[in-house]
This record gives sequence, structure tokens and C-alpha cells, in this order.
Amino acid sequence: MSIIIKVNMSTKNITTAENPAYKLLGGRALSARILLDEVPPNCEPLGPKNKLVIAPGLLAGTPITSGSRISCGAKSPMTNGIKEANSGGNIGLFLGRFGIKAVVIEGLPTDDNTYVLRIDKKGSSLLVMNELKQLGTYDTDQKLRATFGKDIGVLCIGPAGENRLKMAAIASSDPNGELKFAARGGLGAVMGSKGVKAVVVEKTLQQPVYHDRQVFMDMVRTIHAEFINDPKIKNVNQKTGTATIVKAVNAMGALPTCNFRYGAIDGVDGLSGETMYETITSRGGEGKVGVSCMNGCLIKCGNIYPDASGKKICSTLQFENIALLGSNLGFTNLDPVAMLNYECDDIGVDAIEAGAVLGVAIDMGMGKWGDLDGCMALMKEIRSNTLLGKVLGHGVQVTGDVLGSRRIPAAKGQSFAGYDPRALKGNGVTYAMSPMGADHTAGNCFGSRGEVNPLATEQQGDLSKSLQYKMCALDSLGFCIFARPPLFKDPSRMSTLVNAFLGTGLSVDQLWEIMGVNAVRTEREFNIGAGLSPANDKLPEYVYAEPLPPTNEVFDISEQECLKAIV
Amino acid sequence: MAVVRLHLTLIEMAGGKKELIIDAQQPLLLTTLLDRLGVPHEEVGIIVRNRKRDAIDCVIHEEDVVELFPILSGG
Repeated sequence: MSIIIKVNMSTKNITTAENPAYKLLGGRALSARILLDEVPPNCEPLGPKNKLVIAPGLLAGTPITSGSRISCGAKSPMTNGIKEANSGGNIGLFLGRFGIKAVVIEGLPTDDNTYVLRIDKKGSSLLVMNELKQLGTYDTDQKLRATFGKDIGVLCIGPAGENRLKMAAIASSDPNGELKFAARGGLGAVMGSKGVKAVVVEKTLQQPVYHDRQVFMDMVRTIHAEFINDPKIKNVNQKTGTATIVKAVNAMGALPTCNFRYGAIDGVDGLSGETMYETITSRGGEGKVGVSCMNGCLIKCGNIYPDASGKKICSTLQFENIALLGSNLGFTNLDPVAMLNYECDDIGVDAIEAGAVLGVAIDMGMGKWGDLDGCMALMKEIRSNTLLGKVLGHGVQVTGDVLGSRRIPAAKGQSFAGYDPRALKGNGVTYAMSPMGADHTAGNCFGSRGEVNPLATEQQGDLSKSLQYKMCALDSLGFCIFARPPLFKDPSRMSTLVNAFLGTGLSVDQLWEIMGVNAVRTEREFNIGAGLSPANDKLPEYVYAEPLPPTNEVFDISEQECLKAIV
Repeated sequence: MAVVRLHLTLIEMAGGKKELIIDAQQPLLLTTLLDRLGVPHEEVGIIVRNRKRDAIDCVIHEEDVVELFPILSGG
């Protein structure tokens, strides 16, 4: 992969270039590099100097399982720092196969048209499609397929992105016609600011160019065999996906409940992965488990959640959505979670952030816990872009500030994910210290094999740091982090894949350095230039002081310990 | 009495048992209980005893509530 497509929305010119300096970079590492090289860190996120980088992982386009994720990066309007969010779907595979390393959208249009960027074997073109204006992501995806063919890869935004709301996400279509999301940090708003409603990539069977295809495929077979022979894949991941951990997080007292007031909820059984599986399979109809969001992914952790009549409500119910849209809002049943999940997906907002927003709103008297009608009414405000909707749509920090809350679960302006930092302190360190803001995928300490006690005040810094650069390496290669067990068990598998693909001779240490450590350091350098000082590397005051039932812990990790997490 | 709950794939390993009420007046090693149930120690990933993460070598006392999960990683 070597082609970089640059789309200037001020002039509407499209150019292509190659940059040998980027040979070893893909996904998150590439977007970090391009952003530091080309975007003034103190620019306005929704202005002409920001750039949206869409970069498949370094291995995207190859048949390695779970390895063709698409990464989106820009300066975030939410954190005002650098942001990367990645997603499944099939667009990463197609871009990789075309040999496209990145699509960089820059400038700002002076007209009000709604643009679609189309990429196919003939090249790239910008099309005006005003009929897509303000459509939800699902209608947008359907209309694009009707126009360009059913097998395309799509990235698109919903009305939230077009209205430049800070929690706007970017949707990515998957092989089943469902949508996955590069959700966090408001990248949908950046895309909307540039007038781009969608990027459409033609399906292609063109194969990438390998340095040594035989060695590459041998390693693919080795890794695939490990997945195929692992009983946990079939018995756990394909049945309950990420929702597998709901009860475990609850048992540890870290499950966000009623705006992070508690760490466990009575009635958690109704939200569990086990209940999700029973519900989906007993209702049947359009309901499914074991769904993959990328072609050829062997893990298949996705699902389609149906209503009582078997009609699809949403795809996919994930742990994070169950936590933030479920227990965090006082629900103990998955049906309301699924309905809110669908609203988030169609409006095109980050479901994690939306759950945190609704939690703060209810906590401040704008609704009741466990009240679906009240929550849906607030989501409608966001969809309609009313003044209240704008407040809510700009995320939990803005919502909390406007409503006068002192319990705003955010770091660097972005909401916590589905783990309360007081009961999973390693994640609190990641939330505070990662350049990404409160992002669990940046360094999730959950389930770290019991090596570090989640409530301990020591070792959390080193744990978070190690996970941060390792997760970043996965984000740069294009791997789903759910695929990490066999890759972390023997990281030379990853360096073998890269070397066989590119003809390089990287060691494992060099792989971690280039794809992980350097990328995170690049991000931190950007943030410092953006004005994010070490003073921003913290959590909100209340989590240091307010005990979280039932563990009654506070976030008591020292500053010195947190500093160890700087990569 | 103490309560021990098994989750997910551990249930099948323990012959279908999900919740056990056990007499722990004489404190009992978790590993001893696992051996009795036929659950391999290495299959137990997360141990939560009275809401706090504990280790495989923990001791179960009267009134304890213990939750056992297989090896899990977050998404």
C-alpha cells in the first residue's frame, strides 16, 4: 500500500501522492504522523486547517482474520487534542486491496452542498448528492447502495455529523449491511464540517502486493488455526460477544450505574451476555449471534438483537452500550438499550458518549432512571438539532457544564467508558493519561489476568503504559483488539506478517516501537502543541473524593504513579 | 454459609452448577473447592470475593460471596 489520496474541499481538487517515509505506518500510526506533519495543532477542529485522515491498518487488504479495520483521525472538537477512532466494516479491506494507504480530507467548502467521495478502480471523484442531506446513517447507506451497487464499502455520517455535534461518529458498513462505528471524539463532526456525507469505495477482488506471500500465508494459517481450535471463540465470543463481561464488571463493582453513582446494579442478570444470547436465540426471526463485521473474521462477536416479534432492533449490542445506555441509565432490560442503541447509530453519535450525556441529564433532573420514553425524547432533541439537542449533542462535558453538574464523568472532555475508574483503577490511569482522553480501548486494564489488582494503588501506571502502546500497535496494524490473545501470546507473529508483507526485517521490539510507542508519543507531541498541558492529564475531582458503592473506593492513584503511564 | 457463583464456561466444567451454598465455618481454600467441582484452576480468570478481586489462592470464609469467571478480556 502506498497511495495517499488528498481531497481538498476548498478547491474540490483530488490529488494522489506516495510518501516512502510512511512505508511502515498504517492506521493509527499513520494518521498520527500525517496530522503532526500537516495540521497546526492549535487549529480550530472544525476549521479549514484540520484534516480528516482515513487510513486502513497496515495489514488491511490481506486475509488475516480481524485485520482490516479502518482508522479515522483528526484533531478532535471534543478533546481539542488528537483523536483516532477505528471501526470494523469492509471499507478497510477494499482500500487495502486498492493499495490506498490513506484518504486525507482537507480544507473547508464554501458551498452548502452535500458531497460523496467515490473511489473505484478508475480513481476518485467528488459527487454532489444533496438528496442525502440530514438522512440517518441507515437511509444514507441504503441510498448509496441503490446508487453505486450493493457491494460497496461505505463510511458515512448522520445528521449529528452534518450538524457538527461534538459527539458525532463515523459509520462504517459491514458485509451484512449493518453499520459499525468509528465513534469516539467527534470525528463525524470533522467530516461534516468538510461537507462530506460519505466515502464510498467499490468492492474489489484485486489483491495487495506481498514481498513473500508464502511466508505471509503460512503465518495466517498458524494464527487462524489457533482461533479455530480455541473453544472460547465458539462457546463464548460467538454467543455473547463483548457482552460476556457484563456480570464480571458488575461483580467487581465497576459497572457504571445511574450516572456513575454506583458500580453495580441490582438486576444485572437482565443486562448480561447470557440473557442477551437467550433472548436473541429464543426470539429468532432476524435475531442472530456469531456475526462478523469484517470479511473473514473468525471471532464473529457481533449480533443482531430482535424485538419480541423477531424484528431487528439494532446491531450489535456491545458491553459498552449495555453499560452506558443500560445500567448507567438505570435500565435492567436489554430492549430499551437496543432501542437507544439504534437511535445513536442512526443519528450517528457515539453511543458511549450519548449514554454518559443521558446519565448526567437524568442526574440533573431532566428525566428518571429506567425511563425509556424520557431518554428517547432527549435523543429526538439531538436528532432534530434543537437548542437542547445541540447542548446534549456536544457531549457530556458541555451537557454537565450547562446543567451545573459536579459529577461529569469525563477526561479531556470525553466521557468515561464502561468501567468506573474508582473500581478499575488502571483504566482510570488510561482515561487520565492517554492522549485520546477517556478511552478504554487505548489501554483497557480489565481482565489483565489478575496480575494487577484493579483496586491497588501501585503498578497501575506501568500496566496502563504497556497496554497503551500495545493497543496502539494493534490500531496501527488494523487488528481488532478482540483478536489480541494469540497475537500477544507470541508477538513475533505480527512482525513476521509485517516483514513478509513489506519485505522489512523488524524485530518484535521494533514493531512495538514503530507501531505503538512512537505513535503514542507523536500523539502526545500534537496535544502539547494543541495546548493540552499535563494539567489536563487528570480525572474529574469527584472521583478522587466520592466513594463508589459497593466497593466504596475512590480514585486514589498518586500523580507519581499516573506519570509512569506516559509512553 | 458462603455463596459461590460460577459463570459462563465454568458452569459446564462444574457439571452444570451455577451457585453453591457451602459451609465455610472451617475456612476453605478456593483451589480445594475447584478440585471438588472438577474445574481446572487455570480456567478461572476472574475471582471476585466480596466485591474485591482476589487471587486463585484465596480462602473462603463464612458469609463470603464469591463470583468466579473464566478468562475474559474487555472489548
